[in-house]
Amino acid sequence: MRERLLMALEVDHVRRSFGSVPAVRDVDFSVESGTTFGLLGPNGAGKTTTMRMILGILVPDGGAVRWGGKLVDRTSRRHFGYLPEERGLYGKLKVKEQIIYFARLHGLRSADAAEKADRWIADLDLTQYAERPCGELSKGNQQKVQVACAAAHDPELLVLDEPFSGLDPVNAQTVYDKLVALRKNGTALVLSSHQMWQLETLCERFCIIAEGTVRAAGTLASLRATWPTRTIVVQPDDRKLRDVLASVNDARVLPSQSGELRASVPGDTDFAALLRELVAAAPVTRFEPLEPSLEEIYRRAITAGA
Amino acid sequence: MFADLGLVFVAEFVRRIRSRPFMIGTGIGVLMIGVFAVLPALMERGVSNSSNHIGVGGASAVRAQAEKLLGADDFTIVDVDTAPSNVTRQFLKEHDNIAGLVMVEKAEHGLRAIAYADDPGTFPVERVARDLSTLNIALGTGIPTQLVAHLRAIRIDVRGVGGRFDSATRAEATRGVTLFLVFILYLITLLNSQMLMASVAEEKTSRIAELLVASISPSALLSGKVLATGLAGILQLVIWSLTELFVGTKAGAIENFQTLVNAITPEIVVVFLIFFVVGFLEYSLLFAAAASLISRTEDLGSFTLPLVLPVISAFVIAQFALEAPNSQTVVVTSFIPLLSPFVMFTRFMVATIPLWQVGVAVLLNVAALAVIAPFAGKLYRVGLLLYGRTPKLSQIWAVLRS
Repeated sequence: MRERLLMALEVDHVRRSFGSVPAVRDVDFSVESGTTFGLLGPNGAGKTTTMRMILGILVPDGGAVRWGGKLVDRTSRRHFGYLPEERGLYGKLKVKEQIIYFARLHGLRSADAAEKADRWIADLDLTQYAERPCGELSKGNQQKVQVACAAAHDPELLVLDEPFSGLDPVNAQTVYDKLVALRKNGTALVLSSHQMWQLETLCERFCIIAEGTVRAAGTLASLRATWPTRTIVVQPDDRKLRDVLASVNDARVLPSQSGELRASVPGDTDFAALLRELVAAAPVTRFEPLEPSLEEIYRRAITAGA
Repeated sequence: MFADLGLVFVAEFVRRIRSRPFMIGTGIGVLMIGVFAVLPALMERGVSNSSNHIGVGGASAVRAQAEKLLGADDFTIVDVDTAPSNVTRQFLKEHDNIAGLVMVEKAEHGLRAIAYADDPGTFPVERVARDLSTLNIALGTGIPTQLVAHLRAIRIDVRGVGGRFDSATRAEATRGVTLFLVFILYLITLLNSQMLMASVAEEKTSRIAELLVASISPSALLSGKVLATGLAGILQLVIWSLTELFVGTKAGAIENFQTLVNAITPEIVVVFLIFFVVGFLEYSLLFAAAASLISRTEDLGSFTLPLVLPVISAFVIAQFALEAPNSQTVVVTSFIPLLSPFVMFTRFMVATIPLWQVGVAVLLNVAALAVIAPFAGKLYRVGLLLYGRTPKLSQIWAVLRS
């Protein structure tokens, strides 16, 4: 594997205020190379400020940002890529020129930048627009050009704020595939998005922040492990089965839906033992403990601290 | 740092010279130079073709004397002994389309004249009186006309005593060159600083700036942009100077063009370039820093005005300096950064001033740049990420102090 796999991003208890307004109070997480990290939070939570501190655009008031164990400096920033939430392109510059310019700003030589630009243009289905000014492109195609500008230099760390916004499902999949390819190649990805389903499938680890502090962090499994309850789905909707579910400590039987029983039980319930009890009481055609979705975890994390 | 600066410089320069405002601005400059060079000659030709000539009539003996003493460029001798009872516009038209008729006759002590004019308000009474004074002397004293004509022409050889100009012609030519260079400096500073301002505002409002400062330092970005704009300005200077050269030599529209060219010495070029560079850097840095505070391009106008005022003031004071280079106000302003690139350069051109004054003015400008550059750099760095409402002065000050 490439050397970059040894590197990692460490966001070490950073904080940042603007005047008397604290934007980030205490955010702490780390990202391994070749993995995808989801940074979640409501509007105004401090995500953009955190991203700007990672990229060195803003200097933290406290704490530190390290890459490969060293404080982020101009040299390491050369190997970072950034897609901000608010998009910006030179409207009169042609697509290929634009990608080459940003690749060169990240240290690529002219010929290499042109080669990378051609590859990204082809991969993102932008060939027919390569020689057209960006201002003439549709919003979705401009978005793809932005992604190419952020990643054409093959960055070691790529920070993307809402990378899928404005994209139709086909283009979103194209960008998604490119991000997966980058990750396979060893790039560490830090993503922020309000589209939870995409993050859930793309990210290995998450950090949920609100009001400038970390509310929850970890892998999806570890976040789920902290979830206090599980929803059990049982079929058929039988009175004996309902009684068994109701007998579980702290359980709450939920209103029945289309011939199935639902009950909220504590997260540490012994599901194997429960299934045995149910089978002993009556025939069971379905038994499924439902894991909480990322969106549910997110909502709970945000509201819990409010 | 320098590689980044170079990249931004090249990209910005290419974008700038390809941009419509640059092309239109340069084209208008070329047009203006052409028009201003050719216009005086055209106007003069037009005027002389129509109504500038004054007709002179009177008794034949007096007319004969007048013909010898009055210049044919300005006067036409009209073959009339006495004025008609009613001098009409038609009468003037029929006599070589003259602008007016002056009937002269010998009086007791010299000359008596009555003028008939198509438009009495524009009749050049003073000039005609001055020109007729020789005829007045000839008629009043009886001195032979030839002698009066000979005595009329006085050649004054003006010689400088400060060692700067060896002749009045050279001094006049230098004034012409000064006017041209100061105007060019004014035009380039104003046009390019505003273009730079628009470029910074575009990058900020379209959020490209955030992408740029994620890759390179804001100082490299600002320096690259300012230098590219400066080079675009120098390119305009070269284009306009070549236009002037063409108009002057090929088109032959500018009188005494060779004298004007000869007035430009190497030291003038050096001093002009020094003041051009420091002046341009001062203004462009301030314009760029101000533009970084704008969140909407509609706000450009309100930010431009306070910065344009010093440029206009400097240009106006430079015009005063052409006439009175050693007046107290001019001398004081010639040391004030932002103003001195215009005013001190004008004083250097048209007056004999000690070189130390030029040196001090340059040093003061360099010192001002040493203050303006970090100030503008910090404002630019902070301003690029300030979105939403345009910040108040107190907020800007707080950010700068932080």
